[in-house]
Amino acid sequence: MFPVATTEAPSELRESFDPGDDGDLEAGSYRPALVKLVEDVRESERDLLDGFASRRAILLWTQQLAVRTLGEMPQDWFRQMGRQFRGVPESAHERTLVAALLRDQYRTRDLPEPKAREFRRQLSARTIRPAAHRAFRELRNDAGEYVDDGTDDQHAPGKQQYVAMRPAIHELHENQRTTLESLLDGFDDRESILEWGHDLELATHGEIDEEFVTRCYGERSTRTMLTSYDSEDRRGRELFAAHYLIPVFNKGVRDLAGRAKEQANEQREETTTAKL
Amino acid sequence: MSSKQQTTATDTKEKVLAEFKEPLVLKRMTDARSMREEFGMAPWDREAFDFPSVIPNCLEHSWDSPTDEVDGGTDWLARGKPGTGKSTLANYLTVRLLESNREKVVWRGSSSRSEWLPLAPWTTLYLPEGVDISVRLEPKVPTRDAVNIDVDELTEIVREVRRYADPRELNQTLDEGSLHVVYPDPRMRGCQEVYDASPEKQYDTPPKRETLFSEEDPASHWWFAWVLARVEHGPHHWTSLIFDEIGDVCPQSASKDTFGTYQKVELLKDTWVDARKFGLSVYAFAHSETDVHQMIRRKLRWRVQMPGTANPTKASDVVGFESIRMNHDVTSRYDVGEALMYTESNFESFGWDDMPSPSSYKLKIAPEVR
Repeated sequence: MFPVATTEAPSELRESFDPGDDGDLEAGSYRPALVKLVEDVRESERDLLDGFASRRAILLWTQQLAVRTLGEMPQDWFRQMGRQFRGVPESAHERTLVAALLRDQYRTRDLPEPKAREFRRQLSARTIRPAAHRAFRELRNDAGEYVDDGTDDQHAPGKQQYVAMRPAIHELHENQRTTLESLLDGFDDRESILEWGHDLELATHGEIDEEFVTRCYGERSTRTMLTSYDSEDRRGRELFAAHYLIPVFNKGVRDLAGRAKEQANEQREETTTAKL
Repeated sequence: MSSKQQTTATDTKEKVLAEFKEPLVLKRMTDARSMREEFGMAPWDREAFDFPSVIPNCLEHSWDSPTDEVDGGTDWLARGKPGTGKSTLANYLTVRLLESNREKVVWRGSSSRSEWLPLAPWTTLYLPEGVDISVRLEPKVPTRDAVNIDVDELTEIVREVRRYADPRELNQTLDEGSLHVVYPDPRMRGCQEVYDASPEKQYDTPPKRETLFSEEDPASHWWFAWVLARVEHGPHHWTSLIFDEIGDVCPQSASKDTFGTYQKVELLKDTWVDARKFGLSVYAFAHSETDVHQMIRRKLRWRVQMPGTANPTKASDVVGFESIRMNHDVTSRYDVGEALMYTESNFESFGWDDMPSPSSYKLKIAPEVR
């Protein structure tokens, strides 16, 4: 730790950075949707910096992040995550990115903890922040301003349960989380896959490939993987979710948040297309 | 011309030639490696792309491809208006082909263009034997003077200048992992012979003529014979043709004219099937889909949509495609330096940096008028 010049005693410093402090959230805000957005992203980042306990937790967090950034995270980042979940076939270890997201004790491959921490900070600084910034700018155009008499604090951001105060997006988030969880848990039988397909439609806001459910139902290997309780298949489902679902979830959020039309623009900003 | 004027002309010539980079002869490094270092390109990485069957499959050539990818030669048709980056893309493509397959790259030279100049220091130039050639350096700014140079002086711009007698002989001398810019022989020497040597390929001889190929043909018809010669007579190392302005050679409007253009387009179409089996890839560039004869378009399995024009969203927009995966137009809003590659089953966008030409002059190489 470098010595830091400060006028505050370390204890005070600590206090002002206490992540558990909701601060002004309980109080009202004139633009609660924007405050809610910022706080949600802050929470996601905090989770990230703490690290995760399982691959499942990473997936759930990734899905939540897609919603909280209103689909502004680069589509390519989700695809990259999908690739990372493939793992290293020779050793059954996870790939670097996934390893860096896991907390030290849950990792199966060697990775110096300071490096992992640095990686998580980089992810936060380089990818999440710009996305959150774009989300903020998107939302500020249509965020409402509320002026109450102050007697009731119905517009206190901390009391808001909806992402960016937009119930539709929150509903999408709920759908996504449930479908993701039931996929990760695995299905009891083949029929449940079809049943799940209906929920998936809502969860992806119709962005899923039209033959996706048909294939899940029809392809023998996929079906086995989805309905088995073996640990290998459990892991297979994690990869399946990372690869096929989460990127599409992001597209769904993007569409619902009204950003789908701007894809060309977004690609320009992110310059994430592969270079020849 | 007075001696003073002469001195000024020599000065200008020296100044213009000095703008070009020294040609490179490499012993320790491949051309591809040296080009990559020059242009700051990372090593080729197929993993950078999401859909292996689209970009990596098109650029990497193999006789033992992964499933879902095709064996042998590939092709593409890149379509886009002038100024949308086709030439720069062709240069990058060349580097990747040299790098990933040690390909013999043949660039269609044309008297009106020289888009390969960024790669000039690594280039072997092929000119027809026994034909007087005029070489001019033309400024991009038309108010400045053009400079005439001797063929011998071309080696200040390119690595080597070779003369060839006919297409078959030319193919024997191409180097693996190297770029060759080939200017067609206006006299069509050896072309009819190549055609005669393939008796299974029979097309109507143009009216009032004895042969399909003749000295009177437009020089660009030489390319029909070259493709046939490469397929029929080899050598069958990986070879790629950078076919700039393919619409000039096989236009949609090709007819059974006095030069037999239609018959030659048919010949090219019939040769195409074997091309991939013999490791020949053709990367075609055109302004629009309909510039190119549909017999040829049907044979092209990859398309690249350059920016500024909408990508197709219906299979009926693309001759020879039964399906199209794109739902929306994305490319019309792309900037230069980004494009969309697609096949019937997938699509992926990709980008590239600028590759500046070393000089502000264009190189025009043309046979002297007979």
